[in-house]
Amino acid sequence: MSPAVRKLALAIHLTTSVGWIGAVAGYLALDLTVTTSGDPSVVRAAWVAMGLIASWVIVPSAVASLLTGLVMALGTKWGLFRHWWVLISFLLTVGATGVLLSETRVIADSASVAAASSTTTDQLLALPSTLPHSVGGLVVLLAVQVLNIYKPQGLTPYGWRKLQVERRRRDSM
Amino acid sequence: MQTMADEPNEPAADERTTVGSGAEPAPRTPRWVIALGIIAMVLILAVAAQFVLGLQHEPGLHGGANEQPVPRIAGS
Repeated sequence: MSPAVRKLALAIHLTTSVGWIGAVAGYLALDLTVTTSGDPSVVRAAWVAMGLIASWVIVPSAVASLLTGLVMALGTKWGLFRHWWVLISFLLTVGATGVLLSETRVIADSASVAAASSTTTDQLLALPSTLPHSVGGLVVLLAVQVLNIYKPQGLTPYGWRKLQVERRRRDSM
Repeated sequence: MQTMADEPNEPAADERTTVGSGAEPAPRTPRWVIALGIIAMVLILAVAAQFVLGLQHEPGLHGGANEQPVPRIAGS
């Protein structure tokens, strides 16, 4: 991968990854409002905003972060399976994206129920909270963030074998 | 995943371990990986226990002040 392409991929990856965390933090504030508020107008507005943020910000950020992360891993010397921190970050990101995609349908359903004028106050306040998932998602994203900043050392067995092959090749030249 | 701007380093000396006499140093699984693995296993077992106990993992199960699953609205 050329330096220009790598920088572009890195810029998109950084933007979408940090944007994903920020969007989830904003979503979490709304989720807390939905869980704790008894004011129907506030809860209704929060659900509509949650539906929009999930569909138009969080999901695109997650998918873009995952894809650009793959490009960065496979297009550089880091590789996807060579270093524990890259592999674990990848698995956590895939898991978070999977849970997010399954949860987005529930959020969209609740948002459309909240937006409907026929929904009564009791129905509105009875809509299920997504708080455990948003808290859990934020914790996972922060864990990935920490891994990516500190890059703790440690080669996987596959990474070690690849390193040995490269060393032997280098020594024989 | 966030940054891969820096080039990877070769493993540190204290990260290697020798298996057998004359063998190539092999990587030792770092302690932080083992710790994360244990946490992951505990979480997986907790989710599995939920299924075994017949609890549904759905939005609203853990949240809210009443700790009770909130019924879904029919048709939603």
